Amino acid sequence: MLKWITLAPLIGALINGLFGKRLNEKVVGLIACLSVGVSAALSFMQFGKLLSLPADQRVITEHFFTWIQVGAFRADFAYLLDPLSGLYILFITGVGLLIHIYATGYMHGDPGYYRFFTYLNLFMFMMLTLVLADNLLLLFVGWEGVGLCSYLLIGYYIKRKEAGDAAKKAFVTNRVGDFSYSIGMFLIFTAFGSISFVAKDGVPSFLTQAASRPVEALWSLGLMGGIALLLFGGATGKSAQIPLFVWLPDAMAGPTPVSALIHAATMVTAGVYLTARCSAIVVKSPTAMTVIAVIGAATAIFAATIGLAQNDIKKVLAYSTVSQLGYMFLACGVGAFIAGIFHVMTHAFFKALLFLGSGSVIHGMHEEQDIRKMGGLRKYMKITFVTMSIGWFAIAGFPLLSGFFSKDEILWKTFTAEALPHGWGKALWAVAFLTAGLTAFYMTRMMWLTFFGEERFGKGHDAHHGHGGHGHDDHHGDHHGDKGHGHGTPHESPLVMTLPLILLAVLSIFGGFVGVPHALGNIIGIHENKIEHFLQPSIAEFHAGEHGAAAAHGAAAESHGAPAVAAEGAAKPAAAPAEAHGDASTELALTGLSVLIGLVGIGLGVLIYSKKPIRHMPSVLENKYYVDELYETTIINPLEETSRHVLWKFVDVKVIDGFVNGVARGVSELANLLRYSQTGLARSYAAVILLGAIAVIGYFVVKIFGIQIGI
Amino acid sequence: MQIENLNLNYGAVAPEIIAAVTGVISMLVDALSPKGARKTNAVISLVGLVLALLAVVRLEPSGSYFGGMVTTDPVRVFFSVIILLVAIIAVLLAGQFLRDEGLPPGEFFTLIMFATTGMLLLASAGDLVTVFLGLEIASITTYVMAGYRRYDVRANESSLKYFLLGSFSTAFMLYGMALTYGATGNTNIAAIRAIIGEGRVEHPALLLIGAAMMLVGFGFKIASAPFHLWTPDVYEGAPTIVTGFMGTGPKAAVFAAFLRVFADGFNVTASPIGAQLQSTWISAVAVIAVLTMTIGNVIAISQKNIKRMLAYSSIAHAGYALVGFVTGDFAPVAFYMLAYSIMSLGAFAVIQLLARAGDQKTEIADYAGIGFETPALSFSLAIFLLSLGGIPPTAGFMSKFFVFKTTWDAAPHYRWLVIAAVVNSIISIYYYLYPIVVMFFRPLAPGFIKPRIATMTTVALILTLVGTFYLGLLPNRLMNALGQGQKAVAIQPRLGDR
Repeated sequence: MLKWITLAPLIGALINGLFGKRLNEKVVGLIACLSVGVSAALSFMQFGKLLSLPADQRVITEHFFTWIQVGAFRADFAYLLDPLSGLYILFITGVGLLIHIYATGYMHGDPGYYRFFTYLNLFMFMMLTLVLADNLLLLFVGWEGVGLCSYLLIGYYIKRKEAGDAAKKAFVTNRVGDFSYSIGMFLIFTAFGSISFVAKDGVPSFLTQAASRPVEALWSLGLMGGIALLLFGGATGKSAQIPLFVWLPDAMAGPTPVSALIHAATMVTAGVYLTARCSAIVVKSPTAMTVIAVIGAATAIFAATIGLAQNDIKKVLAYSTVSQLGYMFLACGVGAFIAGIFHVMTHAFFKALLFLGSGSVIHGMHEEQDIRKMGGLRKYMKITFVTMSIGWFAIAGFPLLSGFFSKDEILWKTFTAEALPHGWGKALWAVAFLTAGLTAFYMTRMMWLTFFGEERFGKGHDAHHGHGGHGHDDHHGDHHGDKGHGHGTPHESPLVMTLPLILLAVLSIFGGFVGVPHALGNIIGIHENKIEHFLQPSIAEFHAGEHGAAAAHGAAAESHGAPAVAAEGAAKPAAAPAEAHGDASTELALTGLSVLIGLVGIGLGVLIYSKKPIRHMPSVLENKYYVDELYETTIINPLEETSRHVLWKFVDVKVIDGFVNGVARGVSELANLLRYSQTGLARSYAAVILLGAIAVIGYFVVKIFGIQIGI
Repeated sequence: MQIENLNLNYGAVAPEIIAAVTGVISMLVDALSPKGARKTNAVISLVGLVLALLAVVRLEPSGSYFGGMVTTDPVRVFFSVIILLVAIIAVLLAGQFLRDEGLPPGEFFTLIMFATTGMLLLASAGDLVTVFLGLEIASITTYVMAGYRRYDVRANESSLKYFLLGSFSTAFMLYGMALTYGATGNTNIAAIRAIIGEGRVEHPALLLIGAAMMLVGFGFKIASAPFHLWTPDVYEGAPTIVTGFMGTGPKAAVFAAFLRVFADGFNVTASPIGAQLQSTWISAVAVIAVLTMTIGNVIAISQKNIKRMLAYSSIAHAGYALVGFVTGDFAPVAFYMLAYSIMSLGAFAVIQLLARAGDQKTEIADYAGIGFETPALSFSLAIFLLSLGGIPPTAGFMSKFFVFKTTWDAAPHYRWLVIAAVVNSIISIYYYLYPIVVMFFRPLAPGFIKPRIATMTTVALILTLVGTFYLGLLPNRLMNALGQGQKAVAIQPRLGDR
């Protein structure tokens, strides 16, 4: 069954890829949506099956064929469905389906319609393979596959140079991370003799093996730390963390549904998935955890500040995505993998919603992306406005919306982090707390400039024609004209586009209730953190070892069951009640604080931007801290110069070409010489054969003398 | 020899019988239909070949029949499958070839079927006499096929040269067999092997000279240096589809017989004479292998005609396959020949289509810029060429890897051979890439007409493409099957074990 989850989109991609050119737009869209729909339906069925199993046995595997088996190395083409991958396939197919439906409206009239859906379906196949893979190599196949699709879709508008450049940038930046991933994978095989998440051929999974290793000392870098950091290096590429985040904002050159699906909801969270999947290794190295947490927090605040000053609606959301991904890694770094995954899920809901909403705005504004040229749109696009507002409040952490729960959980886990050096947890909490305020603020700015205040479009109507710098989806112009829309008057998008918005808005409101934190849950009457309970078997927990700070969990957690690293699977262990009570009041206080800062952020935003919407922002922020320029001068230019003058003009041209050409000249002279043997005359051929025969027989005769002497 | 010991089991020769009978039927059908029966005969041949394939699959796993004339072992089964696959693809391609060229259709299928009979016999030969019989049936039919385009001087030249030189080499082969018989008093390969193993060879000198002459005979048929000179002329002159057929089917069949006579019959180390013979022929084959691949690859570089280039490439590939001989193990050679047959036939199929009637366009320069004009054909050709060059993830890579790895592990004394082969593979990339560069990166040559592709041709192309990737990506099953076959028969102690 599992295979059809991935094969359905692949079949869709094949049909559209091979025959799409000849098919009607409607048929192409139908095939694409249907294939993802089948996949989603099957995912929900399989998820149901998973839930029906006892908590500690929630593993479904499916083996297709042994892909590579060389000596002790074994990689299968096999899928593994456990709580972690189960959750992922749910929101990948669910959100994916909504975005596919949306895209049928958004891409309407585009000449490359079938190409777009081919790539999008192919992406679904790759992404599902990534999360369902039962070993690191197959995961890497999906990992590279989504990278390829991302590349193809960023550069989808092939005629636009910035799209091509952005695609290349994404591709190259990701290679850096992939290199790190590969090394990590090799190291895992060398260390454990397995790259599989489940036991194979009697060799226990590397995760199980890692679970029995001792915890490494803080500030030492042992094998576990090395592997964890290498894998995290891979994750920084795919999930756009410092220092490899630069590709994601540029990736907005792709069509907006792509930004929503690939560059917000799914692919960019693959790094978080990898880190959570390999949590058994990560928790063995406090050093690695500290690095991950610091980079996550730094990315979060760094990107949030840049987000303050962006004027392209998609760029604001892109930096917001980078920032939210930082939150997720912060969670992983402090050992709260479940909170991280929870945030992945809620983020998929509200960020997909915001992106699709921005697409709707762009669509309605006739390809305008600059929020300085919008304003007052709430009158024209009611559904888009209401749904996007829900996304806005969700990301700002407004109480009881989805983003609130997941963000709050991360903040609390950061505050109480045990793996990090003393006091660092609180410092990182402060950073994350400040980021939460910034997030609320820049989202308010974006929303206000877009939907409130005076209408700033229309007057500068000509501007958007001559304005090519921001990657508009430029295919729409014509068909709007045909339909007789007056240029410059915003309009609401069609139902295929608004319906996904509404559904995502519902998810953004209620999606958080699966993971209500304990302290809060006691107040609002939800006593069980469902998601934590559910995911626990897939995730390892940090144990400070002899320091015993986390002794409540007991060492029994390190256990056998295939991918289940902490297979005890029991509900959150009942820690000492008194202590828990003390914690609960702190937790509640912190929750109150984060609600407050969210509201302050929103309030400040409204106050400032309702007075004067267009403000000059610090140029250092507008220019994104000059990171691109920094990379340009420190890495790219030296690399180019070295490549050009040393590697190319000297090593390549003089040394290698000289050698190769010399050899080639030699070979071709030899060839000419040998060619003379090819006279074309049968008799001379016979002569050569005779000579050859004499040589062979002669050789044997010489050996005969050997025998006769020998005998 | 007593009659009751002959073991007359007709089931054991069912594939050969089916092929021969199908050949006769197609001849009759052609004679009785006034306009010639191109389509009917193609279908009849395909049915016959598929039946023969079934018969091969249903053979008993091992046995010796007709007084030891015919033998069944994994070598036979595996090579028979290769031969029948080659024949099936050739038949699929023949239809369009005959129509485009306006050639009389009937005989062609008959010839293919008779050649197949000979090749199958060659693969099943348990006796030197059967080897000779199979060799001659296969050779004579290919002589005729090479000259099938009667009106074409090049084809006539090709056929005649092939015939003259082939006869010349047959003389060596036959003389070698006679001497071997003189030395051992037997023509049965298993018996010869036993006699050598027990050291009961009356005239060791005769045996070695006999072996040397048979080596020359086999060397000619597989086009190894220095007996390769006929190959480029014959391959270039023959119709492209015949070239593809000749370069794969008969070659694979001869390899089967070559393996059975040398890697089995002459591969005994139990007696001094056996050890002497073994080390002598293996070292001779090693030298021939290096010579063959080097000459093939080096001359291929300077070729301007793609058929000629592939002729030299085919010589080089025989050299790579010979590398596997020094292990005394049939599996790598068998896998290599299968991979080579598939990718080479695929390449020739595309060339046939691009060449148009009468082989007008076979210069590499004719391919300039056609890359995106006929994407299906040029991408297929590119894939076949890359596979021939040994680029992963194709059959060409896996087969090379298999041969080289086995040799490296099993025959430490012959690691130099592997190194030479790898260096050769690198050299060969140059000329395999060249047509690809011409196809995709040069301006379009004037006068290019997009070829029409018949359904059967499409099927053949798809088969070869799928085969190329299947063997390259998922070779495990086949390799395991080969490995088990090898265990079941336990051909020989490997060199490395000594």
